[in-house]
Amino acid sequence: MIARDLTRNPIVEKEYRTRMRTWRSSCALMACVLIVGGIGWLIFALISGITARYTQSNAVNYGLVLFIVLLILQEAVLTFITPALTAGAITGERERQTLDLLLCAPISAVALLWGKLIGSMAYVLLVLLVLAPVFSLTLLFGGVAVHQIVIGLAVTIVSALTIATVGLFFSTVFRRTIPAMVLAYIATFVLVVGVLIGGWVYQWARVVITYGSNGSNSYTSAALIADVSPAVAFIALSTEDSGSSSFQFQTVPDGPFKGWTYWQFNLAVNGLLCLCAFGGSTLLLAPGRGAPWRS
Amino acid sequence: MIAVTGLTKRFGARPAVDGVTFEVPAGEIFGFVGPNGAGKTTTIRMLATLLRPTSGTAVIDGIDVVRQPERARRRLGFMPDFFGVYDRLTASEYLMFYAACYGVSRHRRAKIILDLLELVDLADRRDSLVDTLSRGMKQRLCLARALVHDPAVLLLDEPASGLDPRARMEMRGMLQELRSMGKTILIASHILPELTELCSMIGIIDQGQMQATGPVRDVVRGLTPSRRLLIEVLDRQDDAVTLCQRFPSVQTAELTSGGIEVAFTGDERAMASLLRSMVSDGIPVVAFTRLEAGLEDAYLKLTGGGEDAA
Repeated sequence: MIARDLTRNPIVEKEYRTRMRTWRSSCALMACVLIVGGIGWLIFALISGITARYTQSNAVNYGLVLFIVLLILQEAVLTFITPALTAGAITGERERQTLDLLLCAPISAVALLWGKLIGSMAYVLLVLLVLAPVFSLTLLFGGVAVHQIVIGLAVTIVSALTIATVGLFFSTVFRRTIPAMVLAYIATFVLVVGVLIGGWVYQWARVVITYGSNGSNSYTSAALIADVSPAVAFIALSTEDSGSSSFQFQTVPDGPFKGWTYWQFNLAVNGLLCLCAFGGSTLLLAPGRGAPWRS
Repeated sequence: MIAVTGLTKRFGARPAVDGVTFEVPAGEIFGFVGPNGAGKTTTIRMLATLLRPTSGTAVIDGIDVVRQPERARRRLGFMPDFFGVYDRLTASEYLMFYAACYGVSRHRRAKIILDLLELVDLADRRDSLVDTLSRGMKQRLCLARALVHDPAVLLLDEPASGLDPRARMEMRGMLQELRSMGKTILIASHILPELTELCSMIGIIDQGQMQATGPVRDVVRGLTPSRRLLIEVLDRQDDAVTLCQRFPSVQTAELTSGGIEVAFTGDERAMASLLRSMVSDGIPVVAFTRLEAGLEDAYLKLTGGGEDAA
C-alpha cells in the first residue's frame, strides 16, 4: 500500500501542473541563471584581470575557483528557493481548504507528504538542470575531477532535500503559511550558515579561554557542528588534491566520526535530519497510526 | 446505511456533540438541521473520518468509521461547506486528481469524469480553469468531486449555501437525481423550506443533542399537534377575533395582514363548528383555510426560535 502510494502518487502530478502554471516559476528559473551566471562571470573576469597572462596553470586555478564559487552560489540560490517551495505545502492546502478533502480520501499521510516533497524537489532539480551549462564552465578550464563535481552536486541536492523536509515539517506544525515560512527560513539559515559560525566561534572561544590568544588551534568534537554546513564539504572537496594550507584537514580528525570525509559526514547528518523532519511531519499530520485524525 | 449511536465529541470539557443517535436507511435523504454551533459540522466531520469521536459509534454502509477509516472513506463522499478547489487546474483535471486519489483506475477516469461533468451540467466547461467558474459552478464541481469514486453515502454540509435561487433549484434537482440513483444522502442545511421538499427524513440538533429524528412528516406532526387556520373576513375583524378566542379549541387568534391566524387544537368537526358559529354570528367569512404545519414550526419549537432559523 505504502509502496503504491509512493510510486504512483497523484499529488506529484498535481504539484507539477500547478507549480509550472504560474509566471513566478519561470521567472525564478530565469533569475537563478542570471544571478549564478552573472556572478560566476564576474568572478572569472576579476581573476582574469588580476592575472596578467593566461597560462595552463592559471587555467587550472580558474577552474578550481569557479568550481567552489559556483557550488556555493548554487547552494545559496537553493537555500533561498527551497523553503518557499515546501513551507507552504500543507499550510497552503489548509488555507485553500483542500486539506480536509485530501485527508478524507484514502491516501495516506506519508503519500501526501511524499507527493509534496517530490513535487518540490523536482523543481529544485530543474533549477540545477538550468544551471548545468553555467556549471560546465569549470570543465573548460580543467583542474576539477568528475568525482568532485558529482560529490559536490550530491551534497547540494541532499542539503536542498534537508531544507525541503524541514520546510515541510514547519508546514505541518503551523496553520498559516507566514509563520511556517519564517521558521523554515530561520532553520535553513541555522543549518547552512548558523552551524558554521556557531562551531567556529565555539572552537575559537575554547582555544582562547584554554590557551590564551596564542594557544594551539586543535580540533575538538564540539567543532563538528560546523561541519554540518555544506560549505565545509564544498571547501574540503575543492582542496582535495591540492594539499592547500588554507584548509587543514580532508577528513574529520577527531570524535565519533574520525576518519570520515567531510562530504560523507555532511550527507550522513543531512540524511538523518531529513528522516527526522519527514517522520515528524507524518506524525503531526496523522497522529493515529496512519489515520489522519485531527482532534 | 448510516447508523450513529451515542456519538460524542468533547473539546476539553465542553461537549460539541453529546450522545447523538440516528439512523438513515439506504436511499433516503436525511436533513440535518440546527442552529449555528449546534454540532452539525462536528458530527459530519466525525462521519467523514476527519475527527475522532470521544465516544460512540458511527457505521457507514456496514463499516465502523472509527475502526476502519480507510475502508469507510471509500464508501463516502464528503462535500464541506466551502469550495476547496485548486485554481490552476481545469475542471476535468481537478476531478482527475481526486479520482486518482481515490484509486480509480486510469482507463476508467476519463469516462467517469465526462459522465460526472454532464451530471452536474459542466461538460461545456471541462477545460475551463476552476478559478474562472462561478460560485454555483464551483459548488456543482465540488459535488462531482464527491462522486468520483461512486460512493454509497454522500455527506453534504450546506450544499446550497450562498447560491442564488436558480442555482439552488439546480442543486436540488441534482440531489433528487442522485437519490434516484440509490445514493444515501445526509444534508446539513439552514434552508428549511428546501429540506422539506427534498428530504424524506430529518434530524434536529441543538446544543450538541439530537432533539428529534425520523421521517419529516412524523417529526413535524409530533412536534406541532395544534393546527393553524387562516380565516379571512370582509369586515368585523375584531368581532371575529373575539369569537375565535372564546371558542374552546382555539389556543390563540391574532389579526395579521393576511387575515386571522388561529392556533387550533380541535379536530375537523370542531373546525366546522367554528366556521358555523362565525357564519351564524353574521361575520362575513370569505376564506377558511387550514395551514399545514411545516418544518420551520417544528424547528422553532425545538430550538426556541433560534436566530438561525431560515
